Amino acid sequence: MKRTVLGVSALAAALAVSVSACSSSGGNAAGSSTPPPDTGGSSSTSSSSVPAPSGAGKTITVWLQSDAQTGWPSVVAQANARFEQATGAKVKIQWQEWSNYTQKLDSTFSGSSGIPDVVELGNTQTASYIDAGAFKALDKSEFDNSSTWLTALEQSASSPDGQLMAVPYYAGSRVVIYRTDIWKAAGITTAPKTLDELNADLDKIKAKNPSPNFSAFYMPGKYWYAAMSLVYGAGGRIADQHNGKWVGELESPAAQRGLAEWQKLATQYSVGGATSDESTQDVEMAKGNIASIAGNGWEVGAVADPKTGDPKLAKKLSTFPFPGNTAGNYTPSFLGGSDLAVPEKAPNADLGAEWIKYYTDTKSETLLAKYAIPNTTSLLGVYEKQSQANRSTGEAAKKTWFVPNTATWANVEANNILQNMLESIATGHSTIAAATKAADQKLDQTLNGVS
Amino acid sequence: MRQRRRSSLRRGGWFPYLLIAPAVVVLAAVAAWPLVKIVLLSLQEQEEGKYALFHNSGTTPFVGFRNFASQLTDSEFWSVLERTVIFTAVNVALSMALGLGLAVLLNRVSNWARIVLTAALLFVWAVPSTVSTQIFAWLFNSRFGVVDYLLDKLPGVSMQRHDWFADPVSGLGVVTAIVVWGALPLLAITLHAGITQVPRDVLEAARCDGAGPWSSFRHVVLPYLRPLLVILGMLSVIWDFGVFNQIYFLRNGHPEPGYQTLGIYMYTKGVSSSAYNTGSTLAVLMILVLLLVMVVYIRQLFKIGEAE
Repeated sequence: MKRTVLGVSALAAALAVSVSACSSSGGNAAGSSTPPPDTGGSSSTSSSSVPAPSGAGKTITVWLQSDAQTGWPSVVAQANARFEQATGAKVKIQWQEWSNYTQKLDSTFSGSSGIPDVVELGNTQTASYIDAGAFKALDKSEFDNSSTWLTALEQSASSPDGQLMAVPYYAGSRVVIYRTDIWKAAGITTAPKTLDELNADLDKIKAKNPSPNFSAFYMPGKYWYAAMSLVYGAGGRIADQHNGKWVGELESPAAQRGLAEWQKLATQYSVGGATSDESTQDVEMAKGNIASIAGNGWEVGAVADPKTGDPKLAKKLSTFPFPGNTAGNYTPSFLGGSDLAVPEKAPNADLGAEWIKYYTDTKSETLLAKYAIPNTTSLLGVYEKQSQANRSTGEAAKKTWFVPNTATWANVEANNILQNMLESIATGHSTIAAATKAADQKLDQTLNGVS
Repeated sequence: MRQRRRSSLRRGGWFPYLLIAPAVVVLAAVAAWPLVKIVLLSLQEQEEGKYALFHNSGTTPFVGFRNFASQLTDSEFWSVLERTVIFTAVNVALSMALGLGLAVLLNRVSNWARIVLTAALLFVWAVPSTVSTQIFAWLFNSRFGVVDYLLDKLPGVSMQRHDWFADPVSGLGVVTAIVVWGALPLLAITLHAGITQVPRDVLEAARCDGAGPWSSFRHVVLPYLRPLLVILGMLSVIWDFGVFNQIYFLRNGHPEPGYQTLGIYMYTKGVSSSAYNTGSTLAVLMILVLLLVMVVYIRQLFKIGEAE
């Protein structure tokens, strides 16, 4: 394993050298002086002492997820315009969908043509590709704000020995989304500060709403991001490395305490979701009979969406960061997000890396911060100013957890190990102790690469 | 003269081959080549994870039947296979029986009723399985599902918030409902067409000989339908053995262990885990099992044919 990684980075380095040696006409000065630390934003990359690779007559292909197409197309457009002006190259964006994305990446990277120059990846997907040597090594100092990147994003973008293989792009965090009218009717006027307060509030809401279909807190039985947040909040972990071997740690007393907290939400305050995941919770909340959910900031909009939700709820929804054991100490949120990488076999790798510089520089990320959590803590203020929900999610983004950063993690997700464990707890098919024991065994096998 | 021209056409062997060439090329490209590739992949092992795959390096050696041995000694594979075989048997039996029943019904009802029924069946046929699965998922939803709501209205039945998917057997029952529902149109319409081909005089002769409706169906109609039943039965076995969409989408892309049929298992173990050798091995095993079932089935039917 370790040898593979070393081999990969050695090969990547060798290739990087040979590529820059070949592109004589480009005048690429890879490895020369790095640009000054950025503060001014927009022009930093183009005006730096490093000449941009010349791209006249070339077109680079960029794979971005359609989130950007629907959410922030103007950010993409301005980065493209600045990049095209500086390098003379053209940019072709090919919009992607998350479903079956890794299969598409696998088949593309195993071929020799049609390989894009930049790809976007989810931060839980990067590790297996970094391990497989799918990406070019990047120089951290060439990217804006790299000293203040969100830690969980930067971890996912780096190889286990710390080499940057991708660039953090944006993130999302989860908070509690609640119906102010239902909470107020139960006599609650301030957001709970601790888990005990949350439970006490939910008891009041439940007592006030005796309908058998009512959920004071809708917690689907397969919602592993929420469940693992409580595990990490209780001081537990999914797995850890001991002497180079991964060991599942869900059986630990701390993790089991966190799961007991989750079980309370899923069985005492939640109705009818024991075998569901979180994908329909916005639609269900819009239907009524749900007082609160745990969700991404943007889900507030989904619940009140005129097409998929109920616009009448727009004024009745608010958010607060998921409380923890003590006041001010939030339950850590799972930091989902995306990274951008340059494929090892990219035809215009230099230009690809250059495009990432523009798309993640201070100017682009400041614009992006209106729509999503930017890649750097230095711009969280811009994001939080936008709305009440952003204040909560921005707050939540300061304390986060991340999955074990190893290539085999993807198989844990593919085999639904955590979801199956949680469902068996939520349906009452097995106890927390039995379910975590079985899950730990599977984690040991899967994380250590035994299929 | 005429004789000679015909024989020269028959001997001018290149022309038929030329006509069939496009079809052969297309079939080779879309069916044969992937099949060859799958068999090759099942005999190989991808070392060092995906590294070899991405770098065209020589670390994907042939390992003989090692992949097959490891699957065949895995108890999980056998339990998945058992579940798949039972699931297929139940689905084929139910859809054939109901399809035949509907075909007979179509034959008995008045013209307008037949038109309405056929139109309804065609609509069912036109619905893609992804869409119908989504609709069934909401029908059987434990909070908003109309099925629970209606069943709860029955006296003495308490089905409020009943979760159909907590128990995989009842969950696969819902899958069976979707699969059978989707299979009925083809079966009913084809078998109905088959029944209309039974000569009236034969049926009348049977009636003169004193055969009741059941025995004339059993001894006259069914033998006429046998070739159709063989073909439809075989197709149903192939379809139901490989059911994927209905399970995958009903479980929202995350089927639990109790929902793993061979198709789902192959996808989870092979495709989503990026373990393409394991996936290909399972695919080859799936084809072999299917062939085995088919051979037994076809031979059985030939035997019946010879005996009569």
